[in-house]
Amino acid sequence: MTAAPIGKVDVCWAINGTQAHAAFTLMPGVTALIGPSGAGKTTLARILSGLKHSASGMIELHGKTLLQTGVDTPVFEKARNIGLVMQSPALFPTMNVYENIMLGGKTSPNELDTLLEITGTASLLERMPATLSGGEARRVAIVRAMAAKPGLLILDEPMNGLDPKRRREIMALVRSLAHSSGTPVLLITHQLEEMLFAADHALLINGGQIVAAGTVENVLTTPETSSLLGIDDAGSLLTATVSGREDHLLVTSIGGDTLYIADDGEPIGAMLRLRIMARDIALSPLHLDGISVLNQLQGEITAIEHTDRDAVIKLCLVKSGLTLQSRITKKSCTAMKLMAGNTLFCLIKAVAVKELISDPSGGTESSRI
Amino acid sequence: MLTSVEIAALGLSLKVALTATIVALPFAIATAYWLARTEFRGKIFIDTLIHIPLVVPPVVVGYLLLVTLAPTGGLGAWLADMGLSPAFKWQGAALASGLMAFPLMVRSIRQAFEAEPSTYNDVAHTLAIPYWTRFRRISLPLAYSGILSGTVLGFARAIGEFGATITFAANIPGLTQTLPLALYSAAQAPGGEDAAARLALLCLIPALASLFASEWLYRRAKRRLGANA
Repeated sequence: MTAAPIGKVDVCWAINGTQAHAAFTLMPGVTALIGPSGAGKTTLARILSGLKHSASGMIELHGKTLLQTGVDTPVFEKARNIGLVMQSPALFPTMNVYENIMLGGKTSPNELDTLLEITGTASLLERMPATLSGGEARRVAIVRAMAAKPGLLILDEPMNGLDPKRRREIMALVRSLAHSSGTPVLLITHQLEEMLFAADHALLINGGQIVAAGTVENVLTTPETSSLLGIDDAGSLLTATVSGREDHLLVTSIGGDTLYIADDGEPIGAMLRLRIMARDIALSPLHLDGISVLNQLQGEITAIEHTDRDAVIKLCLVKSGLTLQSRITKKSCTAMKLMAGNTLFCLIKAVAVKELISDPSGGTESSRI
Repeated sequence: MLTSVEIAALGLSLKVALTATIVALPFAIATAYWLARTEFRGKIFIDTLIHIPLVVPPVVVGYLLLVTLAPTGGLGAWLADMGLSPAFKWQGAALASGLMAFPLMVRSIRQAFEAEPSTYNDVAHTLAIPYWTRFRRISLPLAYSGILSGTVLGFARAIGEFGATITFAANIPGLTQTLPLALYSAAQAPGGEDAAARLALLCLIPALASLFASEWLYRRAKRRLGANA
Protein backbone atom coordinates (compact mmCIF):
# COMPACT_ATOMS: atom_id res chain seq x y z
CA MET A 1 0.00 0.00 0.00
CA THR A 2 1.37 3.36 -0.95
CA ALA A 3 -1.00 5.61 1.01
CA ALA A 4 0.43 8.49 3.02
CA PRO A 5 0.80 8.13 6.80
CA ILE A 6 -2.03 9.60 8.87
CA GLY A 7 -0.03 10.16 12.01
CA LYS A 8 3.31 10.04 13.76
CA VAL A 9 4.10 8.78 17.23
CA ASP A 10 7.34 9.13 19.16
CA VAL A 11 6.75 8.63 22.87
CA CYS A 12 8.72 7.58 25.95
CA TRP A 13 7.40 6.15 29.18
CA ALA A 14 8.67 4.14 32.11
CA ILE A 15 8.11 0.39 32.03
CA ASN A 16 9.15 -1.59 35.11
CA GLY A 17 11.80 0.97 35.99
CA THR A 18 13.31 1.15 32.50
CA GLN A 19 12.59 3.65 29.78
CA ALA A 20 10.41 2.52 26.89
CA HIS A 21 10.49 4.38 23.60
CA ALA A 22 8.11 3.73 20.74
CA ALA A 23 8.41 5.58 17.45
CA PHE A 24 6.35 4.77 14.37
CA THR A 25 4.09 6.20 11.69
CA LEU A 26 0.41 5.35 11.55
CA MET A 27 -0.99 4.25 8.21
CA PRO A 28 -4.59 4.23 6.97
CA GLY A 29 -6.54 0.97 7.12
CA VAL A 30 -6.00 -1.56 9.87
CA THR A 31 -2.64 -1.60 11.64
CA ALA A 32 -1.89 -4.44 14.03
CA LEU A 33 0.18 -3.61 17.11
CA ILE A 34 1.43 -7.08 17.90
CA GLY A 35 3.76 -8.36 20.58
CA PRO A 36 4.01 -10.78 23.47
CA SER A 37 2.28 -10.18 26.80
CA GLY A 38 3.91 -7.38 28.78
CA ALA A 39 5.41 -5.78 25.67
CA GLY A 40 3.72 -2.45 26.43
CA LYS A 41 0.83 -2.68 23.96
CA THR A 42 -1.95 -1.64 26.32
CA THR A 43 0.20 1.08 27.88
CA LEU A 44 0.86 2.50 24.43
CA ALA A 45 -2.88 2.42 23.69
CA ARG A 46 -3.56 4.35 26.89
CA ILE A 47 -0.88 6.89 26.05
CA LEU A 48 -2.32 7.41 22.56
CA SER A 49 -5.88 7.79 23.82
CA GLY A 50 -4.77 10.18 26.57
CA LEU A 51 -5.69 7.97 29.52
CA LYS A 52 -2.08 7.73 30.65
CA HIS A 53 -0.51 11.11 31.17
CA SER A 54 2.94 10.13 32.35
CA ALA A 55 4.45 9.88 28.87
CA SER A 56 6.63 12.34 27.05
CA GLY A 57 7.31 12.86 23.36
CA MET A 58 5.13 13.64 20.38
CA ILE A 59 1.84 12.36 18.99
CA GLU A 60 0.44 13.73 15.76
CA LEU A 61 -2.79 12.56 14.15
CA HIS A 62 -4.38 13.91 10.96
CA GLY A 63 -2.08 16.92 11.13
CA LYS A 64 -3.09 17.80 14.69
CA THR A 65 -0.57 17.69 17.52
CA LEU A 66 -2.02 15.72 20.42
CA LEU A 67 1.09 15.65 22.56
CA GLN A 68 4.32 17.55 22.38
CA THR A 69 6.33 17.62 25.54
CA GLY A 70 7.70 20.99 26.53
CA VAL A 71 6.08 22.92 23.70
CA ASP A 72 2.31 22.78 24.05
CA THR A 73 -0.21 21.75 26.62
CA PRO A 74 -1.09 18.20 25.66
CA VAL A 75 -4.56 17.69 24.24
CA PHE A 76 -6.42 15.67 26.82
CA GLU A 77 -8.44 12.59 26.08
CA LYS A 78 -11.73 14.40 25.48
CA ALA A 79 -10.39 16.44 22.60
CA ARG A 80 -8.20 13.71 21.11
CA ASN A 81 -11.09 12.03 19.35
CA ILE A 82 -9.48 8.62 19.64
CA GLY A 83 -11.88 5.75 20.23
CA LEU A 84 -10.80 2.92 22.49
CA VAL A 85 -12.39 -0.49 22.80
CA MET A 86 -10.80 -2.38 25.65
CA GLN A 87 -10.41 -6.08 26.36
CA SER A 88 -13.64 -5.97 28.31
CA PRO A 89 -16.47 -4.38 26.30
CA ALA A 90 -17.27 -2.11 29.30
CA LEU A 91 -20.81 -1.39 28.14
CA PHE A 92 -22.53 0.81 30.70
CA PRO A 93 -24.84 -1.65 32.48
CA THR A 94 -27.24 1.08 33.52
CA MET A 95 -28.57 1.72 30.02
CA ASN A 96 -29.65 -0.27 26.99
CA VAL A 97 -27.60 -0.77 23.84
CA TYR A 98 -29.08 2.23 22.04
CA GLU A 99 -28.42 4.54 24.99
CA ASN A 100 -24.89 3.16 25.27
CA ILE A 101 -24.24 4.00 21.63
CA MET A 102 -25.86 7.43 21.70
CA LEU A 103 -24.40 8.68 24.99
CA GLY A 104 -21.23 9.80 23.20
CA GLY A 105 -22.52 9.31 19.64
CA LYS A 106 -22.10 11.96 16.97
CA THR A 107 -23.46 10.05 13.99
CA SER A 108 -26.47 11.05 11.93
CA PRO A 109 -29.40 8.59 11.95
CA ASN A 110 -28.37 7.38 8.48
CA GLU A 111 -24.76 6.81 9.50
CA LEU A 112 -25.93 4.96 12.58
CA ASP A 113 -28.20 2.74 10.50
CA THR A 114 -25.26 1.84 8.25
CA LEU A 115 -23.08 1.12 11.26
CA LEU A 116 -25.75 -1.08 12.82
CA GLU A 117 -26.26 -2.93 9.55
CA ILE A 118 -22.56 -3.65 8.98
CA THR A 119 -22.15 -4.88 12.53
CA GLY A 120 -25.45 -6.76 12.70
CA THR A 121 -26.44 -5.02 15.91
CA ALA A 122 -29.72 -3.40 14.81
CA SER A 123 -31.80 -6.03 16.61
CA LEU A 124 -29.95 -5.50 19.89
CA LEU A 125 -30.81 -1.84 20.48
CA GLU A 126 -33.43 -2.41 23.17
CA ARG A 127 -31.42 -5.03 25.03
CA MET A 128 -29.61 -4.42 28.32
CA PRO A 129 -25.85 -5.21 28.27
CA ALA A 130 -26.22 -8.02 30.82
CA THR A 131 -28.37 -9.97 28.36
CA LEU A 132 -25.85 -9.86 25.49
CA SER A 133 -23.47 -12.68 24.55
CA GLY A 134 -19.72 -12.03 24.55
CA GLY A 135 -19.61 -11.55 20.77
CA GLU A 136 -22.64 -9.26 20.74
CA ALA A 137 -21.18 -7.12 23.53
CA ARG A 138 -17.88 -6.72 21.60
CA ARG A 139 -19.74 -5.67 18.48
CA VAL A 140 -21.81 -3.14 20.42
CA ALA A 141 -18.65 -1.77 22.06
CA ILE A 142 -17.13 -1.29 18.59
CA VAL A 143 -20.29 0.42 17.32
CA ARG A 144 -20.31 2.69 20.37
CA ALA A 145 -16.72 3.75 19.72
CA MET A 146 -17.37 4.23 15.98
CA ALA A 147 -20.54 6.25 16.64
CA ALA A 148 -18.36 8.93 18.26
CA LYS A 149 -16.67 9.33 14.84
CA PRO A 150 -13.10 8.86 16.05
CA GLY A 151 -10.09 9.97 14.05
CA LEU A 152 -8.44 6.71 15.12
CA LEU A 153 -10.04 3.63 16.61
CA ILE A 154 -7.90 1.58 18.98
CA LEU A 155 -9.05 -1.96 19.63
CA ASP A 156 -7.22 -3.52 22.56
CA GLU A 157 -7.48 -7.28 22.11
CA PRO A 158 -11.20 -7.09 21.37
CA MET A 159 -11.41 -10.80 20.61
CA ASN A 160 -10.12 -12.11 23.93
CA GLY A 161 -12.24 -14.89 25.33
CA LEU A 162 -14.27 -15.43 22.15
CA ASP A 163 -14.58 -18.74 20.33
CA PRO A 164 -12.88 -19.06 16.89
CA LYS A 165 -16.07 -18.41 14.93
CA ARG A 166 -16.82 -15.20 16.84
CA ARG A 167 -13.18 -14.13 16.48
CA ARG A 168 -13.46 -14.49 12.71
CA GLU A 169 -16.64 -12.43 12.73
CA ILE A 170 -15.04 -9.63 14.72
CA MET A 171 -11.91 -9.66 12.55
CA ALA A 172 -14.06 -9.39 9.41
CA LEU A 173 -16.06 -6.63 11.06
CA VAL A 174 -12.97 -4.62 12.00
CA ARG A 175 -11.65 -4.78 8.47
CA SER A 176 -14.96 -4.01 6.94
CA LEU A 177 -15.57 -1.01 9.22
CA ALA A 178 -12.10 0.40 8.68
CA HIS A 179 -12.40 0.20 4.91
CA SER A 180 -16.01 1.33 4.58
CA SER A 181 -15.74 4.28 6.97
CA GLY A 182 -12.16 5.28 6.23
CA THR A 183 -11.43 5.30 9.98
CA PRO A 184 -7.91 4.08 10.67
CA VAL A 185 -7.80 1.24 13.19
CA LEU A 186 -5.00 0.22 15.52
CA LEU A 187 -5.65 -3.40 16.45
CA ILE A 188 -3.74 -4.51 19.52
CA THR A 189 -3.16 -8.23 19.69
CA HIS A 190 -0.76 -10.96 20.67
CA GLN A 191 -2.30 -13.41 18.21
CA LEU A 192 -0.66 -13.80 14.83
CA GLU A 193 -3.97 -14.99 13.41
CA GLU A 194 -5.65 -11.66 14.17
CA MET A 195 -2.89 -9.73 12.45
CA LEU A 196 -3.06 -11.98 9.36
CA PHE A 197 -6.84 -11.93 9.12
CA ALA A 198 -7.51 -8.27 9.75
CA ALA A 199 -4.51 -5.98 9.29
CA ASP A 200 -2.92 -4.20 6.37
CA HIS A 201 0.10 -3.00 8.33
CA ALA A 202 1.80 -4.23 11.47
CA LEU A 203 3.98 -2.90 14.27
CA LEU A 204 5.87 -5.50 16.27
CA ILE A 205 6.48 -4.33 19.82
CA ASN A 206 8.66 -5.77 22.54
CA GLY A 207 9.84 -4.22 25.79
CA GLY A 208 8.18 -0.96 24.82
CA GLN A 209 10.17 -0.72 21.58
CA ILE A 210 8.84 -1.07 18.04
CA VAL A 211 11.15 -3.75 16.63
CA ALA A 212 9.57 -4.18 13.21
CA ALA A 213 7.10 -2.14 11.18
CA GLY A 214 5.66 -2.33 7.69
CA THR A 215 3.14 -4.31 5.72
CA VAL A 216 1.81 -7.46 7.30
CA GLU A 217 3.74 -9.50 4.70
CA ASN A 218 7.01 -7.86 5.70
CA VAL A 219 6.48 -8.06 9.43
CA LEU A 220 5.43 -11.70 9.21
CA THR A 221 8.67 -12.72 7.55
CA THR A 222 10.87 -10.72 9.94
CA PRO A 223 12.84 -13.19 12.11
CA GLU A 224 11.97 -11.18 15.28
CA THR A 225 8.28 -11.86 14.69
CA SER A 226 8.82 -15.61 14.69
CA SER A 227 11.03 -15.57 17.77
CA LEU A 228 8.88 -13.17 19.83
CA LEU A 229 5.57 -14.79 19.00
CA GLY A 230 6.95 -18.32 19.09
CA ILE A 231 6.01 -19.07 15.49
CA ASP A 232 7.39 -22.32 14.19
CA ASP A 233 6.47 -21.74 10.54
CA ALA A 234 5.59 -18.21 9.50
CA GLY A 235 5.15 -19.22 5.86
CA SER A 236 4.53 -16.72 3.09
CA LEU A 237 1.71 -14.27 2.45
CA LEU A 238 0.59 -13.66 -1.11
CA THR A 239 -1.96 -11.30 -2.58
CA ALA A 240 -3.90 -12.96 -5.39
CA THR A 241 -6.73 -11.91 -7.71
CA VAL A 242 -9.50 -14.35 -8.56
CA SER A 243 -9.44 -14.73 -12.33
CA GLY A 244 -11.78 -17.67 -12.93
CA ARG A 245 -13.25 -21.02 -11.86
CA GLU A 246 -12.33 -24.51 -13.01
CA ASP A 247 -13.54 -27.90 -11.74
CA HIS A 248 -14.62 -26.61 -8.32
CA LEU A 249 -11.37 -24.70 -7.93
CA LEU A 250 -10.62 -21.01 -7.98
CA VAL A 251 -8.07 -19.86 -10.51
CA THR A 252 -6.11 -17.00 -9.04
CA SER A 253 -3.38 -14.89 -10.43
CA ILE A 254 -0.30 -13.90 -8.43
CA GLY A 255 1.85 -11.68 -10.57
CA GLY A 256 2.38 -13.70 -13.75
CA ASP A 257 1.77 -17.06 -12.07
CA THR A 258 -1.46 -18.97 -11.73
CA LEU A 259 -2.40 -20.58 -8.44
CA TYR A 260 -5.29 -22.99 -7.99
CA ILE A 261 -6.99 -22.91 -4.62
CA ALA A 262 -10.14 -24.30 -3.01
CA ASP A 263 -13.32 -22.49 -4.10
CA ASP A 264 -15.15 -20.83 -1.22
CA GLY A 265 -17.42 -18.83 -3.52
CA GLU A 266 -15.35 -15.69 -3.92
CA PRO A 267 -16.38 -13.50 -6.86
CA ILE A 268 -14.20 -13.07 -9.95
CA GLY A 269 -11.98 -10.03 -9.45
CA ALA A 270 -11.83 -10.38 -5.65
CA MET A 271 -8.49 -9.74 -4.01
CA LEU A 272 -7.40 -12.52 -1.67
CA ARG A 273 -4.72 -12.71 0.98
CA LEU A 274 -3.31 -16.22 0.97
CA ARG A 275 -0.94 -17.94 3.34
CA ILE A 276 1.21 -20.88 2.38
CA MET A 277 3.14 -22.59 5.15
CA ALA A 278 6.77 -23.36 4.39
CA ARG A 279 6.23 -27.03 5.27
CA ASP A 280 3.48 -27.27 2.60
CA ILE A 281 5.83 -26.43 -0.28
CA ALA A 282 7.78 -29.34 -1.80
CA LEU A 283 10.61 -28.73 -4.28
CA SER A 284 11.40 -30.48 -7.53
CA PRO A 285 14.09 -29.80 -10.16
CA LEU A 286 11.59 -30.70 -12.90
CA HIS A 287 7.95 -29.95 -13.71
CA LEU A 288 6.14 -33.16 -12.80
CA ASP A 289 3.25 -34.44 -14.87
CA GLY A 290 0.72 -36.96 -13.68
CA ILE A 291 0.81 -36.08 -9.99
CA SER A 292 -1.96 -34.69 -7.82
CA VAL A 293 -0.23 -31.41 -7.01
CA LEU A 294 -1.82 -28.76 -9.23
CA ASN A 295 0.41 -25.80 -8.53
CA GLN A 296 3.98 -26.02 -9.81
CA LEU A 297 5.54 -22.55 -9.78
CA GLN A 298 9.06 -21.97 -11.01
CA GLY A 299 11.36 -20.09 -8.65
CA GLU A 300 15.01 -19.37 -8.04
CA ILE A 301 16.71 -20.00 -4.71
CA THR A 302 17.81 -16.74 -3.11
CA ALA A 303 19.00 -18.11 0.24
CA ILE A 304 19.17 -21.28 2.29
CA GLU A 305 18.94 -21.16 6.08
CA HIS A 306 19.83 -24.23 8.09
CA THR A 307 18.15 -24.87 11.41
CA ASP A 308 18.90 -27.70 13.85
CA ARG A 309 16.61 -30.12 12.10
CA ASP A 310 15.84 -28.82 8.63
CA ALA A 311 16.56 -26.26 5.93
CA VAL A 312 14.48 -23.23 4.96
CA ILE A 313 14.81 -22.48 1.28
CA LYS A 314 13.91 -18.96 0.20
CA LEU A 315 12.80 -18.64 -3.39
CA CYS A 316 11.90 -15.86 -5.77
CA LEU A 317 9.19 -16.82 -8.27
CA VAL A 318 10.46 -16.42 -11.82
CA LYS A 319 7.32 -14.87 -13.34
CA SER A 320 6.06 -12.69 -10.51
CA GLY A 321 9.15 -11.93 -8.48
CA LEU A 322 7.23 -12.88 -5.31
CA THR A 323 9.04 -14.68 -2.52
CA LEU A 324 8.14 -18.06 -1.04
CA GLN A 325 9.69 -20.16 1.70
CA SER A 326 9.94 -23.93 1.63
CA ARG A 327 10.99 -26.03 4.59
CA ILE A 328 12.55 -29.37 3.75
CA THR A 329 14.73 -31.85 5.62
CA LYS A 330 18.49 -31.41 5.65
CA LYS A 331 18.73 -34.82 4.05
CA SER A 332 16.66 -33.68 1.02
CA CYS A 333 18.63 -30.45 0.82
CA THR A 334 21.91 -32.38 0.68
CA ALA A 335 20.60 -35.03 -1.71
CA MET A 336 19.31 -32.37 -4.15
CA LYS A 337 22.58 -30.42 -3.80
CA LEU A 338 20.59 -27.20 -3.43
CA MET A 339 22.37 -23.88 -3.51
CA ALA A 340 21.50 -20.23 -4.15
CA GLY A 341 20.79 -19.53 -7.82
CA ASN A 342 19.27 -22.98 -8.55
CA THR A 343 15.95 -22.90 -10.40
CA LEU A 344 13.31 -25.27 -9.04
CA PHE A 345 9.58 -25.93 -9.14
CA CYS A 346 7.62 -25.20 -5.95
CA LEU A 347 4.92 -27.85 -5.59
CA ILE A 348 1.92 -26.49 -3.67
CA LYS A 349 -1.27 -28.49 -3.10
CA ALA A 350 -4.36 -26.39 -3.79
CA VAL A 351 -5.89 -27.51 -0.50
CA ALA A 352 -2.80 -26.39 1.45
CA VAL A 353 -3.33 -22.73 0.53
CA LYS A 354 -5.15 -20.93 3.30
CA GLU A 355 -7.34 -18.00 2.41
CA LEU A 356 -7.17 -15.27 5.04
CA ILE A 357 -8.94 -12.27 3.59
CA SER A 358 -11.22 -11.76 0.64
CA ASP A 359 -11.95 -8.24 -0.54
CA PRO A 360 -14.73 -8.70 -3.14
CA SER A 361 -14.25 -5.31 -4.78
CA GLY A 362 -10.52 -5.51 -5.03
CA GLY A 363 -9.52 -4.34 -1.57
CA THR A 364 -10.97 -0.87 -1.45
CA GLU A 365 -14.39 -1.52 0.03
CA SER A 366 -15.73 -3.95 2.59
CA SER A 367 -14.16 -7.32 3.05
CA ARG A 368 -15.38 -10.76 3.86
CA ILE A 369 -13.67 -13.72 5.41
CA MET B 1 -53.82 0.75 71.12
CA LEU B 2 -51.07 3.34 71.25
CA THR B 3 -51.12 6.03 73.89
CA SER B 4 -50.85 9.68 72.96
CA VAL B 5 -47.26 9.77 74.28
CA GLU B 6 -46.35 6.80 72.11
CA ILE B 7 -48.01 8.27 69.04
CA ALA B 8 -46.26 11.61 69.60
CA ALA B 9 -42.87 9.89 70.07
CA LEU B 10 -43.35 7.66 67.00
CA GLY B 11 -44.47 10.57 64.83
CA LEU B 12 -41.62 12.75 66.02
CA SER B 13 -39.08 9.98 65.53
CA LEU B 14 -40.21 9.45 61.93
CA LYS B 15 -40.17 13.19 61.24
CA VAL B 16 -36.71 13.64 62.76
CA ALA B 17 -35.16 10.56 61.13
CA LEU B 18 -36.69 11.18 57.70
CA THR B 19 -35.63 14.83 57.72
CA ALA B 20 -32.13 13.91 58.90
CA THR B 21 -31.75 11.22 56.21
CA ILE B 22 -33.23 13.21 53.34
CA VAL B 23 -31.18 16.32 54.09
CA ALA B 24 -27.96 14.37 54.69
CA LEU B 25 -28.30 12.15 51.60
CA PRO B 26 -27.24 14.60 48.84
CA PHE B 27 -24.30 15.75 50.96
CA ALA B 28 -23.35 12.14 51.66
CA ILE B 29 -23.51 11.26 47.94
CA ALA B 30 -21.43 14.29 46.96
CA THR B 31 -18.85 13.65 49.69
CA ALA B 32 -18.66 9.94 48.89
CA TYR B 33 -18.15 10.62 45.16
CA TRP B 34 -15.54 13.24 45.88
CA LEU B 35 -13.60 10.92 48.20
CA ALA B 36 -13.96 7.94 45.85
CA ARG B 37 -12.81 9.77 42.73
CA THR B 38 -10.21 12.31 43.71
CA GLU B 39 -6.80 12.21 45.29
CA PHE B 40 -5.62 15.35 47.02
CA ARG B 41 -3.39 16.50 49.82
CA GLY B 42 -5.19 16.38 53.13
CA LYS B 43 -7.69 13.74 52.00
CA ILE B 44 -6.90 11.65 55.07
CA PHE B 45 -7.71 14.67 57.26
CA ILE B 46 -11.13 15.17 55.62
CA ASP B 47 -11.76 11.42 55.84
CA THR B 48 -10.98 11.43 59.57
CA LEU B 49 -13.12 14.48 60.20
CA ILE B 50 -16.16 12.88 58.56
CA HIS B 51 -15.73 9.73 60.64
CA ILE B 52 -15.45 11.50 64.01
CA PRO B 53 -19.14 10.93 64.95
CA LEU B 54 -18.59 7.19 64.46
CA VAL B 55 -15.76 6.96 66.95
CA VAL B 56 -16.47 9.52 69.65
CA PRO B 57 -19.29 9.05 72.20
CA PRO B 58 -22.49 10.57 70.72
CA VAL B 59 -22.80 12.79 73.74
CA VAL B 60 -19.61 14.54 72.65
CA VAL B 61 -21.17 15.36 69.30
CA GLY B 62 -24.26 16.68 71.11
CA TYR B 63 -22.07 18.73 73.38
CA LEU B 64 -20.10 20.20 70.46
CA LEU B 65 -23.37 21.10 68.75
CA LEU B 66 -24.58 22.73 71.93
CA VAL B 67 -21.38 24.71 72.32
CA THR B 68 -21.49 25.83 68.71
CA LEU B 69 -25.19 26.42 68.19
CA ALA B 70 -26.71 27.20 71.61
CA PRO B 71 -28.46 30.57 71.48
CA THR B 72 -26.17 31.93 74.15
CA GLY B 73 -23.36 33.03 71.92
CA GLY B 74 -21.60 33.24 68.56
CA LEU B 75 -23.18 31.45 65.65
CA GLY B 76 -26.03 30.17 67.86
CA ALA B 77 -26.97 33.70 68.94
CA TRP B 78 -26.98 34.90 65.33
CA LEU B 79 -29.19 31.97 64.31
CA ALA B 80 -31.49 32.71 67.27
CA ASP B 81 -31.77 36.33 66.13
CA MET B 82 -32.82 35.08 62.70
CA GLY B 83 -35.31 32.74 64.37
CA LEU B 84 -33.42 29.69 63.12
CA SER B 85 -31.87 28.32 66.30
CA PRO B 86 -32.13 24.52 66.26
CA ALA B 87 -31.28 23.91 69.91
CA PHE B 88 -34.08 22.31 71.95
CA LYS B 89 -36.26 21.93 68.86
CA TRP B 90 -37.11 18.92 66.65
CA GLN B 91 -34.87 20.47 63.98
CA GLY B 92 -32.03 20.20 66.49
CA ALA B 93 -32.84 16.54 67.01
CA ALA B 94 -32.78 16.10 63.20
CA LEU B 95 -29.43 17.90 62.97
CA ALA B 96 -27.91 15.74 65.70
CA SER B 97 -29.30 12.54 64.14
CA GLY B 98 -28.20 13.55 60.65
CA LEU B 99 -24.69 14.27 61.84
CA MET B 100 -24.47 10.88 63.55
CA ALA B 101 -25.86 9.09 60.47
CA PHE B 102 -23.66 10.97 57.98
CA PRO B 103 -20.42 8.92 58.26
CA LEU B 104 -22.31 5.64 57.92
CA MET B 105 -24.02 6.92 54.79
CA VAL B 106 -20.76 8.21 53.29
CA ARG B 107 -18.95 4.93 53.98
CA SER B 108 -21.56 2.77 52.34
CA ILE B 109 -22.05 5.04 49.32
CA ARG B 110 -18.33 5.57 48.84
CA GLN B 111 -17.74 1.83 48.69
CA ALA B 112 -20.36 1.59 45.95
CA PHE B 113 -18.66 4.35 43.91
CA GLU B 114 -15.27 2.72 44.41
CA ALA B 115 -16.64 -0.62 43.21
CA GLU B 116 -17.43 0.84 39.79
CA PRO B 117 -14.90 -0.62 37.31
CA SER B 118 -12.42 2.02 36.16
CA THR B 119 -13.02 0.88 32.57
CA TYR B 120 -16.38 2.71 32.51
CA ASN B 121 -14.61 5.90 33.41
CA ASP B 122 -11.92 5.30 30.77
CA VAL B 123 -14.49 4.61 28.06
CA ALA B 124 -16.53 7.65 29.11
CA HIS B 125 -13.35 9.77 28.84
CA THR B 126 -12.58 8.59 25.32
CA LEU B 127 -16.21 9.13 24.28
CA ALA B 128 -15.97 12.68 25.64
CA ILE B 129 -19.04 12.20 27.85
CA PRO B 130 -19.39 15.25 30.13
CA TYR B 131 -18.58 14.79 33.81
CA TRP B 132 -22.11 15.48 35.05
CA THR B 133 -23.68 13.11 32.48
CA ARG B 134 -21.18 10.43 33.48
CA PHE B 135 -22.13 10.85 37.14
CA ARG B 136 -25.87 10.98 36.50
CA ARG B 137 -26.17 8.21 33.89
CA ILE B 138 -23.42 5.78 34.94
CA SER B 139 -21.98 6.20 38.44
CA LEU B 140 -25.16 7.15 40.28
CA PRO B 141 -27.37 4.32 38.96
CA LEU B 142 -24.51 1.82 39.42
CA ALA B 143 -24.13 2.89 43.04
CA TYR B 144 -27.87 2.54 43.59
CA SER B 145 -27.68 -0.44 45.95
CA GLY B 146 -24.90 1.22 47.97
CA ILE B 147 -26.89 4.45 48.18
CA LEU B 148 -29.92 2.45 49.24
CA SER B 149 -28.12 0.58 51.98
CA GLY B 150 -26.40 3.79 53.08
CA THR B 151 -29.78 5.48 53.30
CA VAL B 152 -31.32 2.62 55.29
CA LEU B 153 -28.30 2.49 57.60
CA GLY B 154 -28.46 6.25 58.03
CA PHE B 155 -32.20 6.17 58.71
CA ALA B 156 -31.79 3.37 61.24
CA ARG B 157 -28.95 5.26 62.91
CA ALA B 158 -31.01 8.49 62.95
CA ILE B 159 -34.13 6.89 64.38
CA GLY B 160 -32.11 5.16 67.09
CA GLU B 161 -30.06 8.24 67.93
CA PHE B 162 -29.98 9.02 71.63
CA GLY B 163 -26.85 10.60 73.11
CA ALA B 164 -26.31 13.52 70.76
CA THR B 165 -30.05 14.26 70.62
CA ILE B 166 -30.64 14.34 74.36
CA THR B 167 -27.58 16.53 74.84
CA PHE B 168 -28.34 19.03 72.09
CA ALA B 169 -32.15 18.95 71.75
CA ALA B 170 -33.03 17.75 75.28
CA ASN B 171 -35.87 15.37 76.17
CA ILE B 172 -39.05 17.47 75.86
CA PRO B 173 -42.21 15.38 75.36
CA GLY B 174 -44.04 16.32 72.18
CA LEU B 175 -41.18 18.57 71.07
CA THR B 176 -37.91 16.65 71.03
CA GLN B 177 -38.79 13.39 72.73
CA THR B 178 -38.19 10.72 70.09
CA LEU B 179 -38.85 7.01 70.70
CA PRO B 180 -35.48 6.20 72.32
CA LEU B 181 -35.80 9.25 74.56
CA ALA B 182 -39.35 8.29 75.56
CA LEU B 183 -38.13 4.77 76.26
CA TYR B 184 -35.35 6.16 78.42
CA SER B 185 -37.83 8.33 80.37
CA ALA B 186 -40.22 5.40 80.85
CA ALA B 187 -37.42 3.11 82.01
CA GLN B 188 -36.29 5.74 84.50
CA ALA B 189 -39.80 6.34 85.91
CA PRO B 190 -40.97 4.12 88.81
CA GLY B 191 -43.45 1.51 87.53
CA GLY B 192 -42.71 2.39 83.90
CA GLU B 193 -41.63 -1.15 82.90
CA ASP B 194 -44.74 -1.88 80.80
CA ALA B 195 -44.56 1.45 79.01
CA ALA B 196 -40.85 0.89 78.34
CA ALA B 197 -41.52 -2.58 76.90
CA ARG B 198 -44.26 -1.20 74.60
CA LEU B 199 -41.92 1.58 73.40
CA ALA B 200 -39.13 -0.91 72.80
CA LEU B 201 -41.48 -2.95 70.60
CA LEU B 202 -42.58 0.22 68.85
CA CYS B 203 -38.97 0.96 67.91
CA LEU B 204 -39.07 -2.15 65.72
CA ILE B 205 -41.81 -0.81 63.42
CA PRO B 206 -39.81 1.84 61.51
CA ALA B 207 -36.70 -0.36 61.55
CA LEU B 208 -38.48 -3.31 59.95
CA ALA B 209 -40.40 -1.09 57.53
CA SER B 210 -37.19 0.50 56.26
CA LEU B 211 -35.50 -2.89 55.82
CA PHE B 212 -38.46 -4.23 53.82
CA ALA B 213 -38.58 -1.11 51.68
CA SER B 214 -34.89 -1.26 50.91
CA GLU B 215 -35.01 -4.95 50.01
CA TRP B 216 -37.93 -4.33 47.66
CA LEU B 217 -36.19 -1.39 45.96
CA TYR B 218 -32.94 -3.36 45.69
CA ARG B 219 -34.66 -6.28 43.96
CA ARG B 220 -36.41 -3.94 41.56
CA ALA B 221 -33.10 -2.28 40.65
CA LYS B 222 -31.44 -5.64 40.15
CA ARG B 223 -34.18 -6.74 37.77
CA ARG B 224 -33.70 -3.59 35.73
CA LEU B 225 -29.92 -3.99 35.37
CA GLY B 226 -30.07 -7.74 34.68
CA ALA B 227 -28.33 -10.62 36.32
CA ASN B 228 -24.78 -9.29 36.13
CA ALA B 229 -25.38 -5.92 37.70
